[in-house]
Amino acid sequence: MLKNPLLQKTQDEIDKTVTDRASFDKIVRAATKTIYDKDVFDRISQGIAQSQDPVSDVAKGIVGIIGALASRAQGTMPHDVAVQAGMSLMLDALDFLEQAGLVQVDNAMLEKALNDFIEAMLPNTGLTAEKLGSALQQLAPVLGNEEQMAKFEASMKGGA
Amino acid sequence: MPAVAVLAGVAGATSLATAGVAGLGLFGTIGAIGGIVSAVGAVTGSKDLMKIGGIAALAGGVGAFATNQGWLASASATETAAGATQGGAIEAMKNAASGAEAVSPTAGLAEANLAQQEASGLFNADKLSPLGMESGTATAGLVDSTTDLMAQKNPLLDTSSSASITNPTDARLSLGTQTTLPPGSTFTLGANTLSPAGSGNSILDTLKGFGDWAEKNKTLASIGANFIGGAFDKRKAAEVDLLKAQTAALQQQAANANDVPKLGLKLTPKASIFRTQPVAYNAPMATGLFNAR
Repeated sequence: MLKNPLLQKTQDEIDKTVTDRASFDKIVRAATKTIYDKDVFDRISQGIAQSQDPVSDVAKGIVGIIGALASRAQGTMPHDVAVQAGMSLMLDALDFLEQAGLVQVDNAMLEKALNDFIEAMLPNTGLTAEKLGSALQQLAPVLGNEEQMAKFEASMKGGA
Repeated sequence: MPAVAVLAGVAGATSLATAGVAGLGLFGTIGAIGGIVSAVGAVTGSKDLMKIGGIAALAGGVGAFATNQGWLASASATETAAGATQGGAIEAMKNAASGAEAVSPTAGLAEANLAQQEASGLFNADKLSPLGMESGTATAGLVDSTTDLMAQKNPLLDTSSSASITNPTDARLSLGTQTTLPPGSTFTLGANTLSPAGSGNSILDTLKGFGDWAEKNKTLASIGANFIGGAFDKRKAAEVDLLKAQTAALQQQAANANDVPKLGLKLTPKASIFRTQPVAYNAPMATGLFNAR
C-alpha cells in the first residue's frame, strides 16, 4: 500500500490495465529486490539527495534497472508489461521520495513523473517520437476505414 | 554523483530494444502507454491525458490487430509474432477506454528468468553489469548511456522498410484493398496539428497531435470515436469528474490527518467562572401523560 492516496489510486488504475499479471509481478519483485539491496540503496539515496531533479533521475534509474532485468531475461520480457511495471515502480519511488521529504506529490508532480518515465522508457524500447509518428501515420487509414474498423470491433467482442 | 548514473551504473543501463525484448513490439508498447496515461489522467482529472491515453490505447489495439491482419505494409517479424499477444493490446485498450476490470493474462508468453540470485549478481564487485562488461569500461559516459542507446538500431523494428513507405494509401492499395479513403482521413506529420518529425516533440505531444487529428476526422469520429471512450464519451467524462471529486476528498483527508490541531487554550486568571448577573431560570415545560391537557 502506498502512503499517498493519489499514488495508491493511480496504482489501482494501472492494475486494471495489467494484461500479464505473472510477468508484471516478476518484474516488480525483481526490480524491488534490486533497488532495496543494501549497497545499491545506500548509493541511490546518496545520489537522490544530491540531485537537482530527483523525479527525473529516478525515472531514468528505474528504466536502467528494467533494462538490466530484460537483458537477464534474454528477450522474454514483454514490452507492454515492462512499461506497466516500470510505472508501478515509479509510483513506489515517488511515495518514497515524498516520505523522505524530497518532493510533494500532487497532480502536477504526478503528471511530471509520468512524462519523465515515458520519455526515459520508450526510447529504450525502440519507440521514439519520430517512430511513433510514423506508426500512427500508417495506422490512420485503418482508423478511417469502415470495413476494417468493423472487423476490429467484431474481434473486440470476441468474434474474430 | 547523479542518481541516474548510480542506478545506470549498478544496473548496467541496457536498452530493452538491444536486449532483444520479445512481445508485442511497437503497438503493444503504444497500448501500454495508453493504459498508464489514462490511469494518471483519471486520477488527476486531466482530460488531456485521458484523451491521449484513450487514443494511444486505441492505436495500440487497432495497430496490433491491423498488423495481424496484414493491413499495415511495413509489418516486421516482431509485429507478425505479435498476433499471439494481440489480445493484450486490445484488452489494455478496453480497460483504458471503459475502466473495465483487468482480464486474465495473455497466454503464450515465455516465463521471464528474473531470479533474485541473478538480480543480486548485478552488483558483483568484479563487474558493473551482468552483461560481462569489463570493470571500468562501463563507467565512462554513464550519464549519456540512454542517449547512446537511443542512437542504436533497434533490430525489432524494421525501420528501413518503414522509411520506404511514403504514402500509406498507396501502400494499402498495393495490398489489394480497393476501398477509397474519404478526404482528410490521412494523418501526416507536419500537415496536421503536429510539428514536422524530428522537431523535438515528445511522445505525449505526438499522441496528442494524433488525438487532435482523430477528433477532427469525420470518418473516425463516426466509427472510432466509440472506442476512444475517455476522449468523446460523456459518460466517461462524468466518471472522470467523480474520480476527481473523490481524489480531492482523499487529498483533503490526508491533509487533515497530517494537520495537527493547535489548541489555543488561554488561561485568564482574573476572569470569574461565575456569572456576575443573575439569569432568569426558565423551567423546562413538563410534558408527559400526567400533564397532558
